[in-house]
Amino acid sequence: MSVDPRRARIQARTATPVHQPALAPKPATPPPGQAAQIAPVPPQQLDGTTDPRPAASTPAPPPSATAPDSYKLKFCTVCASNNNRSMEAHLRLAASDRSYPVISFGTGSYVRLPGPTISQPQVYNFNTTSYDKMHNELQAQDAKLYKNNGILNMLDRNRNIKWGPERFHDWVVGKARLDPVARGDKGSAGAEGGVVDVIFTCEERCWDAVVDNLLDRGAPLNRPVHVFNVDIRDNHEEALVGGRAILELADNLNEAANQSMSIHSANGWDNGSGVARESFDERVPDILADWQERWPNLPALWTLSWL
Amino acid sequence: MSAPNQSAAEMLPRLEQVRRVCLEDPNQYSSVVTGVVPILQGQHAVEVRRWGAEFIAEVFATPALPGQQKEQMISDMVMTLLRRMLDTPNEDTTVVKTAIQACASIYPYMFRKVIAQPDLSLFWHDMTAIKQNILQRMDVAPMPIRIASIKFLQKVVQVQTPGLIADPRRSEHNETSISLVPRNHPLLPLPNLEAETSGILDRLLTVIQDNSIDPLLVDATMNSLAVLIKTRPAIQTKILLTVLNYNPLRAAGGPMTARQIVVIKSLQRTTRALLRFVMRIMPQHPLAEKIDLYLRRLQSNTVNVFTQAQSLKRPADSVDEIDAVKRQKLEPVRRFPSMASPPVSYAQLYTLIDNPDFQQFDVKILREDIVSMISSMLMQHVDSKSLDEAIAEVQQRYQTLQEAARKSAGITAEDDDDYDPEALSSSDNMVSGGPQSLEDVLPQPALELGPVELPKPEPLNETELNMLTMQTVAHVFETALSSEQNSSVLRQKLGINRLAGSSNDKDSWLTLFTRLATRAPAGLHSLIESEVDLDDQPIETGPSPDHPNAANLIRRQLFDYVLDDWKHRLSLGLTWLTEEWYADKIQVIGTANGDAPTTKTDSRTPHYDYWTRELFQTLIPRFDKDDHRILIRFLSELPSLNHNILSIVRPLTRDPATVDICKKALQYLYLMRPPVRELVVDTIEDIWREGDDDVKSTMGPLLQKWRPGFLEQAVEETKKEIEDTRTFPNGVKGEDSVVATT
Repeated sequence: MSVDPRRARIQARTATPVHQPALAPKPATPPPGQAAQIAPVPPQQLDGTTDPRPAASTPAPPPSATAPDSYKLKFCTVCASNNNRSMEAHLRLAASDRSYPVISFGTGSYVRLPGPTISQPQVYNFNTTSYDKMHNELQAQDAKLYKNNGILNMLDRNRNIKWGPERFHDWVVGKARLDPVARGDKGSAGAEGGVVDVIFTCEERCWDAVVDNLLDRGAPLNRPVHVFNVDIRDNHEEALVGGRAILELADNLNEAANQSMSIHSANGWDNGSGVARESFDERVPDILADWQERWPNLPALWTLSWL
Repeated sequence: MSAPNQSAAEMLPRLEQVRRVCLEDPNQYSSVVTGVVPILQGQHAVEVRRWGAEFIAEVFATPALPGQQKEQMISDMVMTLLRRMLDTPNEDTTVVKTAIQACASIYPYMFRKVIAQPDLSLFWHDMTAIKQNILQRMDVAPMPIRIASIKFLQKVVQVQTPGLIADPRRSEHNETSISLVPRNHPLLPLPNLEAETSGILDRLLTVIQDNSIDPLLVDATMNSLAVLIKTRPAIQTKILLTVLNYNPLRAAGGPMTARQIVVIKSLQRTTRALLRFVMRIMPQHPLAEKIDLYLRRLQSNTVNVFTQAQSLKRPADSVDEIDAVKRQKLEPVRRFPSMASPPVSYAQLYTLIDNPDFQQFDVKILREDIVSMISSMLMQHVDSKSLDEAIAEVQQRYQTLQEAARKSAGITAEDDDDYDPEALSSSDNMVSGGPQSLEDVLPQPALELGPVELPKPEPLNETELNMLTMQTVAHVFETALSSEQNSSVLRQKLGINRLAGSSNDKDSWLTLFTRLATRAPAGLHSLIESEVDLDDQPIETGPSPDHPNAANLIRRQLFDYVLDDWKHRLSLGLTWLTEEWYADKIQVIGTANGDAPTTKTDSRTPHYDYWTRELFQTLIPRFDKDDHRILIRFLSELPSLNHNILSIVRPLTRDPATVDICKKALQYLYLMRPPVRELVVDTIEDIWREGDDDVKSTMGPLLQKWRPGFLEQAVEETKKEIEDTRTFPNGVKGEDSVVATT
């Protein structure tokens, strides 16, 4: 079930990938600002940065509308190996203005990274191997190779975000996550309860795996969770774009959640009118549809499941 | 801790601290709950109430605490708090939603607690009141509350449906379900619970039954059903059937907005995820086939929906009749290119494609058999609608040509009174049309075509005939025997109602062969014989098995087939021989009706005799010392035995290993088939006579028993013989005597 990052590498070498439009006609040009940003950003700069969101591609919720300490949705990002796409999105969400609570997982059976040849991937166990250890091992093995294919940069970024890759299936929902908080993992603050409101997966297979796993768990917590998929190709460049798109979706969702919270609290839910009177949950399909129109190259999927 | 009147801003950090303590050490939960809940009872800001609901939900959901501790934490205060959250009018949606979530978590623990302590009626009444509250508001409440209620109902159904009892002795290890409730529980009367559960399940499934397209309700319900399907066999089928009746694509069709696409995809994928999950955990479920079918249909329908949606993105505007300038061309695109203007050739008349490469293709370069193969294949697969359209097109073209011709003919007639049809038809390569038939009108090569008559094939000579027969028989045999294995199971079920050859399996084919060989040509051969030689009575001429007619070829094939695996195919051999016998008998009767019956022919079964001898003789050397069952079966099931057939067993006695099976077979025949007793004893006698001392000692007792006095007589005869031999040294006398007794 793991993504093969080698393909991504080959893909990245050959040409800039072109997305197939799934839902809406593909615009002739990428969203404004996107192309300009992709090209010059080397992966190193991802570490600990707070990239300003491109103004043009966001419908710009006014920053003042939400105070920093207002209600925050708790997010979870999932990809195959919990290294590239989910970690990029993890970083974006955690390092955004609102510092969302984030946790992240992989759905593969092992963490697989590109190795020296196509038939020798580097394989690590989930949950027990740290990004730091992977980084140091690979650096000792062949620093040049792993620097050139971007793996060392990626692991370096990851070890500054959290300790190590975690597997979605081994996540005990609702179990306190205090160690990450103690370690100062990014996005751990607010996620110590071990529950989330929204899960973002980065690939349809991961979405299927996550939804299936949630069905299998039988929803012991009785807590609703919105599960989104945002289809992102597994390479460094696309991960950057995808991370930005996920952050935008998260901002939109969070804004809606805040609105519904404030309206329902101050005057009772029967005041207010129109869209604002709708609850957060009801607005999710609309938010996703709007977002999809702005990001036609990242086909999205959504369901309401249970933790 | 905190006084009731503190502001939310003051309280929340401290409450959050308390929560942190619990997260660090789950054992603190029970004391914290006891301390915090009374504080939460007071009038507080909405933030604190939300925190309270969230905290209660977390306490009863956390995986860090065992169920027993959670049971103990259920207290009056907790229940009162929850009831107040749910009962307060205009309570904040989030508080209500989270309180329902907490109730869903508490319900199983409450149920278990009440099972163990039937005196807790107050608790149970609180819970019942909460349940009523939720059920009542469910259809009108804001969406978050409805979603939370769905999960609550699912939990109630899960708890109140029989579950798996893993270990009846240790109830704490078992999952909470109605199976744990004793029959005479005062608070939990089983029939009431069952009735209530059934109602709640219906309520839960309403969304799906009504084929709702509200993605939140449907997704939430679908995703909550998995655990019921997985752990509650009693309601599995009902739920699955309901889901299988759901059509997530109902809202699809026509141009769709971005929201609709999101919703339809969500409904479709959620339904698919649930059913795939079911297929994964229960691949052997009786409904698995149906689910599989549903999933495939869903897949293809989804593809259709989205491809259609894409093609319908910009539908044609309604046509304004007045504004002819802007009118769009709405006629369907012409399927066929228009014909060149007359005069046209036949080829042009029938050409319905506009690809010049294909038009120039000369069919004549293909071999005739290929052309005929292609055309017959095409005719089988051609879409009849397209064919009709093509025919209609050609028809129309022809009519157009006729019209044109009529006009030109009219003009010609006006111009020239000397109307000469010959002139028209003689113009080569011109379709001028007219009232004449197409043959007259269309260009004709300048030669007269008579009716085509293929030359009659030369009559086959006998060698060819035989060869072809042989090929046909071999081919049919090969085809039939390569068909799938026998359907013995089916046949056993059908019993006596079976038709001999009604299905396309091996057994049916073999039945067909035996009858083809025995019945179909019965009499034909002899008729030919009788035509050839009228003096010879047909039935008297013995079958000439070397004569390669179809029947004998089939027989030979059957013979070889049986021999190939004679132990297993002996029953086929017996069936075949029985058919032979029957056919011979029938033929005798037929002949007897036609001609004067002769006693001689009545008993003749020539084909049967021949093939039985043939088969038996071939088989005899193959019998081994363990094959007595097969031999007994063969001999006892043959429809008719005579001396010639039975005496074939004699070679068995020459081998000491097989003499015993021969004896057993003869014994069996004597005992179980009385009509052939004499025959058997005669055969034994023969064997005894020609056998060596071992055989004599084996067969002696049988003769002693069944033909008393024979042995003594034989001994005397022998003595006499020896004496005679002395008298006639050439031994002629002795041989004669043996022949006489045989």
